[in-house]
Amino acid sequence: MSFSNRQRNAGKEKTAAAAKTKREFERLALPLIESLFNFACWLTRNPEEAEDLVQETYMKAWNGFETFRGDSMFRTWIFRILRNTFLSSRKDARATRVESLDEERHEAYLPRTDETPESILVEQASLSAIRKAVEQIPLPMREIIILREVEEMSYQEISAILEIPIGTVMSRLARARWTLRETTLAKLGWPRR
Amino acid sequence: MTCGKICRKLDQFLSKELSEAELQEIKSHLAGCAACRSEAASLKQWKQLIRTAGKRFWIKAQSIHQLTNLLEAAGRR
Repeated sequence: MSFSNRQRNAGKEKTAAAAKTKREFERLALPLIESLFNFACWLTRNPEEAEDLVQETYMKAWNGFETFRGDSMFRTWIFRILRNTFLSSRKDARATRVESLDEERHEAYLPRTDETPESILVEQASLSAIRKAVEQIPLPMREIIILREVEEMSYQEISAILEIPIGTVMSRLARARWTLRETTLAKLGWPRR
Repeated sequence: MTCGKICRKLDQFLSKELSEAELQEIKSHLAGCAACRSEAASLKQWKQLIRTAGKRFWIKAQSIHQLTNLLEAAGRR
């Protein structure tokens, strides 16, 4: 085989390998977009900022995909990137605007529902109180609640994302759940215990 | 296991994150202890409510499209 043919073949192999890497990245990363966006919204408390955070996370993950060795789950890896990106942005600009997640303003981001008005009325009273309470509790509690209860992650995964020991995951989670319950009950007009 | 220890492990019991032996031990404790059973039921309900309340934001289709275009462009570089 001539030198130019060998060069052409090497070029084709490189392109095919890059396309394969990209397909693999998309296969792993794109199904997580809704979860990452939801988590980002709870972290930032600002959907527009959450969109930027998700975009930055994907670009960082793509750029570092070759370093992803598969010794942790991809989901754990990309959630950790998102959280670390968020924390550094907070360190860089502590004065970032934080809004209340007012339902009307962010209506476009809210899910539609087919439930009956009665069931919505009964359920929304407490769901709305829980959401307000989640917004209100401190960040370390908020993030662990979302990872555990919404994303249904194991203690192991949470420990890897938050970079804390499993024992701390357990105690922080118990405290977060208790605080959330008390804050929600207070919002519903129940006296604190 | 005491009731206190059972209650601390209820979360992992509900998500089946314990060994088979621990799962069985908690299961048989719950069968005979109304207080822990009620604790487990209320934790389960609370977790369900948080899950429903916490799944709150859906990204716009337009943003997904924008992101895939960015990845496409990054992949070509």
